[in-house]
Amino acid sequence: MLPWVLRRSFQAGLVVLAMTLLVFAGLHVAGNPVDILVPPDADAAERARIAAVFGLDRPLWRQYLLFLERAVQGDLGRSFIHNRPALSLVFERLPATLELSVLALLLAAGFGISLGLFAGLRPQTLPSRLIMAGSVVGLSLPTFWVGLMLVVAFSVRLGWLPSSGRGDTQAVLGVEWSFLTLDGLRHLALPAANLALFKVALILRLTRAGVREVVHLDYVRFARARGLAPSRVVGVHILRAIMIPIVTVIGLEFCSTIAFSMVTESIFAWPGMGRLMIESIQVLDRPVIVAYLVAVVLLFVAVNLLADLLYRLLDPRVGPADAPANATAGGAR
Amino acid sequence: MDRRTFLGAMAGLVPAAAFAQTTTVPGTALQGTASSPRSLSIGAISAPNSLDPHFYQSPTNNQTLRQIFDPLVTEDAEGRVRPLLAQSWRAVDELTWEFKLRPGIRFHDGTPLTPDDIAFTVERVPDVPNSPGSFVPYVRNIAAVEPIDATTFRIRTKTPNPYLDRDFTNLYILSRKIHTGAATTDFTSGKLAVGTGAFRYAGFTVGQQIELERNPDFWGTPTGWNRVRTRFIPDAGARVAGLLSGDLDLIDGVPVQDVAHLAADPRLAIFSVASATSVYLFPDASRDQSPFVTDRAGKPLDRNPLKDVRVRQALSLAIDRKGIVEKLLLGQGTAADQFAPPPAPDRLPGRPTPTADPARARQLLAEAGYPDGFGLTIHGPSGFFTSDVAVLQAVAQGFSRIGVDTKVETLPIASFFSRATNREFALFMTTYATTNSAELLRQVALTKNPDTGAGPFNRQHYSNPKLDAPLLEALRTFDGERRVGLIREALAALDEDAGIIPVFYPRFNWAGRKTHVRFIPGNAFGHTNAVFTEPV
Repeated sequence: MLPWVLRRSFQAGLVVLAMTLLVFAGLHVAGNPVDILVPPDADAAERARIAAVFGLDRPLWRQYLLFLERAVQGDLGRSFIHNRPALSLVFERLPATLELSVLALLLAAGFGISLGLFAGLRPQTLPSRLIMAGSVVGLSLPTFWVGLMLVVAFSVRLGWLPSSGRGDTQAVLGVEWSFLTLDGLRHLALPAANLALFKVALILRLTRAGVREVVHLDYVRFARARGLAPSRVVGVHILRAIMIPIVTVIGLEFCSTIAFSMVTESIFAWPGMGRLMIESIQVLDRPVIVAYLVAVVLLFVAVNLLADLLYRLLDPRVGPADAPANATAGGAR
Repeated sequence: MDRRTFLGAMAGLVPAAAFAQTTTVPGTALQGTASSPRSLSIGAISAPNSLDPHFYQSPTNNQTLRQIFDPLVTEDAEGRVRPLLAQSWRAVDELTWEFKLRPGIRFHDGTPLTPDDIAFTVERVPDVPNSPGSFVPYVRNIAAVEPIDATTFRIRTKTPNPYLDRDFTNLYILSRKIHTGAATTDFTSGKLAVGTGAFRYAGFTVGQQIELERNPDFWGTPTGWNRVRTRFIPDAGARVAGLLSGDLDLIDGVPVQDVAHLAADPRLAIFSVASATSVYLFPDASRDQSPFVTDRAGKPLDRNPLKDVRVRQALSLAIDRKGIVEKLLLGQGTAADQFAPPPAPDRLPGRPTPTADPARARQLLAEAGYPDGFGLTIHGPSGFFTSDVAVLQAVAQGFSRIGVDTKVETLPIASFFSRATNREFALFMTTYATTNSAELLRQVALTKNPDTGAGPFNRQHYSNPKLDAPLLEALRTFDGERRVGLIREALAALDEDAGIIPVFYPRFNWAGRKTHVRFIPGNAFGHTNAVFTEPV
């Protein structure tokens, strides 16, 4: 177990290193931040001063080595724009994105799995057909359009929910959270629904496919024949067997929601990490871009690790990746 | 000046277009859920990066901080310099200016404003660490600030600067007593966000919102608002939705497609001002060979046709400026008749609006030795200002109509400006915003000189002695009338040489709830803040 975790961490380190190299090279090719930042009334001396302040007057390899040297000490640099440590800037925006992603995922898992179970168990009924048709719509509509339509319907026409922003927040352990206040929850509703829609459709279809496959297997029939309550058959025998792909997808979706919810965050003016990233790319704020991507890579690695652990809980046959697969399978039986 | 403002306006164009069709139905919302009578809720495109007034010289920071702090003097929508903290000023001689402060001005904590505070402000500007763009160019030439009495002081400059008063329009005055040793974070945290302005700091979340409350002891007429909350909403669709749903009372950066239908809404009003922005094309008129210029078959040319003034004039005549303004900007702009924008008081007067003349353009091309035209790729930013890509395409169509086979390449601003500065383009489109024609020419068209730092935004290394001589003379002439004459001479020289090809001047639009707020644009830079509003 431990060597497996260590190996994963080492791999993550390599990925982070390769990623920082790519970002440095890529942004260098893209353009010079000084050209974006410099005020129009600046003179040549002011231009030179800005470049010197950010170390952009040095050759790229020197800049990169300096970055590595500081990164080893836990310093990912200061934002060019905000004059604050890039990492703390990213972490400051994390709670907003986190609560949005978690709520979206809870919605997605709740609705997706229950609707999927229903559609899988009673495939021929009209509601099931409607659910499946709806899921196709959910998968194919672009997020930004759905977001706008939600705003038009619930904010502009009906006036039920606010159109943008985070609303009132409540501080817990020095971090501001929206989901702890009623106003905050009202602000969360639309962006979370917008983020969840695609995932509901995805999880629903996965669940349904799994149920359809499993429901005719012998062990399910025998469970029924043994006179177990239908709820137990569904809740334990079926659900457990189909959870592995669903957990995988939820894990991946959770990461990508946190990392790439920029569209939703822009439409609803949600001050999360995605918006910070977009704004930083526009002005080539390299320290923030690097810090953000490092955080995202680590997040992906951590969540995948967690998903792997969950597999082992759900299905004892799944062993550590470094153990021979057939041996584990045999042993677990 | 309004790079970021434009950026935001553009970023939201697509979603905003969706609203144009969907929100014209009379809504049931907008019942004033946002604000009680004496509070104001603003939705602004861009967010300031700090509350330190000397940290970053950008329109966003300046427009926001103008509510908490005051400059000595200010500029109005017609580009004139007006009194603010200083009630009067004059140039004593070419190196000395005398300012008189309005008596009885106090900072929010009661500290009185003294001439020494101006000296402190000038000292502090170069001392702000890690500034991504500072006010240093405004104070570099200042030799000393000398207090004379309780309200009078003199500023002595190293070299003559007839625009010294104008240099102080965005430089907010801090107090030596309050702000000595203040770090940028002390302002952003609100601790030392203490100014002389009409509003007091009441909360700031970076990238999210700023809250302000009324300063009852304001030296001018105190504002009618008790509280103002400005939320930063980069997406245009989200701003429009916020206004229509009643979350917001006032929004800036109204997309051109939305102006008409918002104006038609009986609950809303559009407020508008001519921008100090000039959208222009910059041809490479200096190098013998230029990238992206070829013959019609795509082979390189042995000489650069853009070097010939007749070719540049022909290109200018090929542009259908009126069509661009009416069709692509839906009337939210003015066809350019010269480089300097309309709010600049010293621009060339009485110029006719140019109309496209393809026949004359073709004739000029033939005279220059290109009867069959040539091939050209022109460059521009995408997502920088309203309809920028479409405008560049319209320009290319005009060029192609006279035989100059033109392709368009647009780039995100992150790469565009670096490549333009590296002289990688034959002809590109960009903008500059100022109400001072001398500054416009000095920054963009004056011959580049690495030793003196002249022409920092002269990206094509344009050089015209007929422009340089009167301009350099104007930049040290104190006699106003004579100076304007010299500037106009320089502007005319540029125009005659078609060294820069102006296209149009945009407009700024705001939309607000008619029964709640009135917006009176305070300057031609599109600044959005509560100082420029009053309750209805």
